Amino acid sequence: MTPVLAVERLSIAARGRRVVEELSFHIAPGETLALVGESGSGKSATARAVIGLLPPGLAPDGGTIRFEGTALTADSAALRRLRGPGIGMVFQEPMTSLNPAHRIGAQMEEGLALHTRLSRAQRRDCCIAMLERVGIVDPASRLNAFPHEFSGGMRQRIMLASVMLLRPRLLIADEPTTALDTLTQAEVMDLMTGLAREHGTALLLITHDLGLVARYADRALVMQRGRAVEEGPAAPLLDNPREPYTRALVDALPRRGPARPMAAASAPLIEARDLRVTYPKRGALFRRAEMFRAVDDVSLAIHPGEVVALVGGSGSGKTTLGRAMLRLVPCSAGQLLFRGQEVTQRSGPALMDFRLGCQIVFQDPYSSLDPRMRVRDIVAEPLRLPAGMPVGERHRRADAMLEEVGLDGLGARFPHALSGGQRQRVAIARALVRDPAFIVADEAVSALDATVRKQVLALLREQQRRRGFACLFVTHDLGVVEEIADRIVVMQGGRIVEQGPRDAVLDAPAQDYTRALLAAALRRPGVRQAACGRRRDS
Amino acid sequence: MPGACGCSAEVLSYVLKRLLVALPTLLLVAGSVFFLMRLIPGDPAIVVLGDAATPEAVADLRIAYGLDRPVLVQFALWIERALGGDLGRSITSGEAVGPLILQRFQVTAAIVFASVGLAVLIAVPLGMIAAWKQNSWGDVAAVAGATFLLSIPSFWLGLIFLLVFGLWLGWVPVVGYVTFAEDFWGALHYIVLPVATLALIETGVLIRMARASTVEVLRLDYVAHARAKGVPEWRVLARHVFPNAFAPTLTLIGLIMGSLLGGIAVIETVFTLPGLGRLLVEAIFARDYPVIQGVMLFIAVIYVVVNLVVDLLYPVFDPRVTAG
Amino acid sequence: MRLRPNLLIGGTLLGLVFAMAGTALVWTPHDPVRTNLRRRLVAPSRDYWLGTDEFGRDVASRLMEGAVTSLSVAASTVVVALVLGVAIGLAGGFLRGWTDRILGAVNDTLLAFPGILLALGLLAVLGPSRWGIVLALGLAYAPSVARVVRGSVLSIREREFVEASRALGNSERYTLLRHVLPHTAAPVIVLATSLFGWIILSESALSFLGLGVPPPAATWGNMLASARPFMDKAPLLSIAPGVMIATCLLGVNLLGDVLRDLLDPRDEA
Repeated sequence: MTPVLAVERLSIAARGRRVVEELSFHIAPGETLALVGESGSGKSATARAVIGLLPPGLAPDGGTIRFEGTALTADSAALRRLRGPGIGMVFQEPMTSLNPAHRIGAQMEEGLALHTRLSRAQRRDCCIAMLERVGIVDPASRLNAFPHEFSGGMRQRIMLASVMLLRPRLLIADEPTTALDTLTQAEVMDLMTGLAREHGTALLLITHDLGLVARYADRALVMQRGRAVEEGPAAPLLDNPREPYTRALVDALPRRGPARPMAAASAPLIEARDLRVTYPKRGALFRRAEMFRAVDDVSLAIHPGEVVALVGGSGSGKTTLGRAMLRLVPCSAGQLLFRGQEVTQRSGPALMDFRLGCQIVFQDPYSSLDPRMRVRDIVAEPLRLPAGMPVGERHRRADAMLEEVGLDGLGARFPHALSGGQRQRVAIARALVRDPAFIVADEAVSALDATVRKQVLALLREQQRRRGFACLFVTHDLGVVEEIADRIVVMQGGRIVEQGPRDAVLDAPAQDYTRALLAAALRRPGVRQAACGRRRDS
Repeated sequence: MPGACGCSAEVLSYVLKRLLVALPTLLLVAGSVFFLMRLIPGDPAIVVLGDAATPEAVADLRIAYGLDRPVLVQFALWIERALGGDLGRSITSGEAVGPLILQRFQVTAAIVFASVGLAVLIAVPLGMIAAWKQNSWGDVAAVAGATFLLSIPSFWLGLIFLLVFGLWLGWVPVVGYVTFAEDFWGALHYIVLPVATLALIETGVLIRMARASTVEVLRLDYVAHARAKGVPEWRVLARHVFPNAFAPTLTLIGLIMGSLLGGIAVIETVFTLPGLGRLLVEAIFARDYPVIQGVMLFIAVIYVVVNLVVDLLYPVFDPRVTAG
Repeated sequence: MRLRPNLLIGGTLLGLVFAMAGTALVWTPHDPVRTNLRRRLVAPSRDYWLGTDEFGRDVASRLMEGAVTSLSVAASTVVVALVLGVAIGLAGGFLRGWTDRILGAVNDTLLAFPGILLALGLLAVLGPSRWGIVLALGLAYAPSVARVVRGSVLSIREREFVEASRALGNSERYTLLRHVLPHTAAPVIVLATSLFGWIILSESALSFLGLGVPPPAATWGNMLASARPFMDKAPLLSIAPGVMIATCLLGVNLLGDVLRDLLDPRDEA
C-alpha cells in the first residue's frame, strides 16, 4: 500500500547550517506517527517542510517528500493545491491560531468555498455540524462570534473543525496542546484522534510530550538535533528504549517514589482561613461591575517541611491562591496566619518577618529575572534585607548559592546569556538564599523541556530535603506532582474540592473532577504501570 | 465581511465611551485656548481702539465686550456664542470670524484630505508588498526611499517643485487660487503641486509603518493557517493580513492628519493659498486675537473629531478593542 | 546586516552638520551678518562659495551660522521637552491615583492640539525670540514625551521581575528606582532622537513663517523665506538651506533606526 507520506533523506538548512539532517520516515494511510524531540530537534521544521510552509530563512536542502506516491516540490502549484483537502495542519498557539478580524463562521467556510462546490447554505450546515461535533455549544449562533470571545481550548477545537471540514488525508499537528492545561489537553487530543479515525486521516503528531505519544501514537520517531535517533512502534519504544537519548527522555518522565513519613502533627507554618480574592468583572457602562471570585472562601494549612501540590485546570484559582498566600494579591476577605500570627493586614516593617520567611519561584524563566542585572547581583539582592550585611558578604553568599544550584562560575553573566533551565536555577537560588521557611513554586517547571524539567525538579527536591522548607507547588501537571508532593490539594472554580496524602488522592480519588484530572494525566506509561502494580527499573 | 456588526452591546458601549471621553476634552481644549489668549499682555480694548483710545471709549468698549465681568463668566459667554457659530469679529478686517474660518477651511481641507488619501492609496499596498517580499532588493529600496522622503522638509520640497514645475517648466501657476466651484480644471492646477508635495512625504512615513505592521502579522500562526487551508496568496494578503496590519496604520493616519492641520501654514505660505494656516499666521502678526482664538479652537476641534473617527473605525479592523 | 549602512550614512551626515556648526563657532569664510550692498546676489565664486544673498551676505557663512542656531535651539528644546515630559510621565506612572488622573487630563488636553498649533498659539503670546521658540516648542512636544514615559512605566511595572522584587520585601520606592526606572531609559533615548528631528523641522518651519529666531540671525528656515522672491534670479538660495535641513533630518532618522534596533530587542530577550 502506498504510504500517505514518504520522506526520504530530507535535509533542511538555515543560513548554511543544517537543522534537519537526512531524515527518512513514512506514514501509512490512517496511521498516527509521532515526531518526538525537545526544542532544537528540528521536528517543527520537518512538519512545515511537508506542507511547504517553512518560515523565511529555512529552506529544503536535499531529499524528497512524496505524498501518496507523487514527489512534491516546494513552492509548486501542485503542493499549494494539496493544502487543505490533501494535507491539513493545526498549530500550537490558540491565541494566534485564528484571525481576530473575522468571524469564525467566515473562517471555517473559506476552506469549503475554495475546495468544494457546495452552496452557501450547504457550507453553513457543514460548519454547524462540525462545530457541534467538536463540542461547541449552540453552534448556529456562535458562527457569528469573533475568536476573542472563546477560550484557548475552544479556539483549538474551532481550528480543528475548520481543518477537518476539508477531510484531509494527512493531518499535521504541531504541538497542538502544549499551551493548554492537562484536562483540556486530553479532550482536544481525544477529539483530534477521534476525528482522524472517523475520516481515515493519517496523523503526523509533533510533540515533546511522551505521555501523548504513549496514548495516541501508533509509531514514534525520536529526533535529536536534526537527526533521527530511534524509530518504531510506540509502546515497545517507550517500554524498552534502545538508544541512550531515548532512554534519557523516557527516564525524564515522572516516577513515584516511596511516600515520605509524615512528621508528627505540628502547628501549621502558614495557614489561610476563609480566604477570598475577588476581581471586578468587566462591567457595562452604567452598571456597577460584578465581582468574580477567583478564590472562594478557601482554607488551607501547610506544615513545616511539608510539600503540598496545588492542582487544578486553568481558571481554578490555584495561581491566585498561591499568590494570595504570599500577599502578592490583595484579599477581600479572610485571614492569613504565619507562625500562628495574623499577617493579613500588616504592612511596612511588620511585614518584613513574613517577607523574609516566604519566597516565590515564578513560571517564566524569561521574565522573572531583571535583564539588566548580572546573575550574582540577582541572587544577592534578597540579602539587602534585613539591613546590615556588608556587600562583600552578600556576594560571597550569592556565589555559594550559585554553586549549590549548579551554576558555578556563571555569576557575572546576564540572564539572556543563560538557557531556560539555567535561568530557573537562578530563580531558585534567589528564592533560597535567605533560607526561607516557605516557598511557593508557581508552575516553576512548566515552561521547561522534559529532561531539563527533571533536573530542576531534582534540584528542588534535594534542596527541600536538605533545608527543610515547606513548599506549595502550584501546577496543572499531575506528573510533576507524583515526584515531589507529600499532600495533594485539588482546586476547581475557586474552591478546594479534594485534598489528602499523595498516594490516597492518586490511587483512590473521591471527586469526579480529580478523577478527570487523573485520567487526563494517567496516559503516561510509568504512572499506568505503577498503578497496575508492575515494578519498573529506573 | 470583516468588521463588527453595529448592533452588539459591546460595540455600542465602546462607541458611547469614546463619545463621552471626547466631551470633557473639548471643554478643556476650549478653556486652554481662551485662557491662552488672556495671557497676552495688554488690554484688548486699547488694541482694538488704537488711536481712538480715550479712557471713556476704552471703558465703554470693555463693557460692550463683557471684559468687566469675571473671567469664568466671560468664558461661559464665549462658549455659548461659539456654539451658536458666533466667534467674534476680526480686529483687522471687521469680518465675522466664523464664516471666514469656514471659507478658508475649504482650501485647507481639500489639500489635507486629498494628500492623505493619495498617500494611503500608494503607501499601504507598497508597504504590504515590501513586507511580503521582506529583505529583497525591492524591500530594501522601498525602506531606503521612504526614509529619504520623510526626511525632506515639506515646505522646501514645495519650493523646489514650484521652481521646477512652476518657473522652469511653466506647467502650473506659481501664485493664486481658484475654488473648485468656480473653475474645476483651473482649481486642479493650483492644487496639484501642494497635494503632490505633501503626499510624497506622507507616503514615506506611511510605507514604513505599513511595512512594519505587515511584517508582524505575517509571522503569526493564523496566516500560516490560512495558507495551510490552501487559500491563494493574494487572498491571504487581502483578507487575512490587511485588516490586521492596517489597524496600527489607521492610528498613524490620524496623527498625520493632526500634524498636517497644525503645520499647514507653511505649505499655504509657499504656494500662497488662502487657507486656514495662513489666516492664523497673519492674525498672529497682526495681533488679531479673535481670529487667533477662533482658528485655534476650530483646528483643535477638527482634530478631536478626526481622532474620534479613527477610534470608531478601529473595531472594523480589530474587533478585539471592543472587549476592553 | 541592515545596521551598518544606516549607522555609517546617518553618522556621516549628522557628523558633517555638527562639524559645520563646530567650525562656525570659531571661523566662517565671511561675517554672516555683515551686509554688502554692492555684492548682492552674486553667483558662486571662489570668494563666495555659494554666492551671496539679497543683502550681499555670504551664503556659505550664513549656512554655517544657521547650523549653530538650529542645532543649539533644537538641543535646548529637546532638553526642555524631556525634562518636562519625563517628570510628568514618571509622576503619573509611579504615583497613579489622583495625581495620575489630573496629570493625564492636562496631558491629554495638550495633546489634543495637533502638531505645532500649540507652539503657534504660545508664540502669539510670547512673540518671536530665541527663548520664545525654545519654550513654545518644548511645551508643545513635552506631552508626547510624557505619554511615552508613562506608558513605559506602566508596562514595566507589570513585568514579573518587578513583582519578584516586591515579593522579596523591597520597598516600593526601591523597586521603582532599581528595577523600573532603568528600563524606561531605552524608550526615552529612542524618543529623544526622534524628538530632535521633529524639532529641527518645526523650528525651520516656524522660522520660515517668520515666527522663529528673528533676523538678522541666520537660520535655515528664514534663509529659505527670504530667498523666495529671488527664486528665478538666484535659485541656489532656495536650494542650499533645504539641503542642510534634509541632511540633518536624514542623519537623525537613520541613527534613530539604528538605536531602536539596538535598544529594543535585547530587552525583550
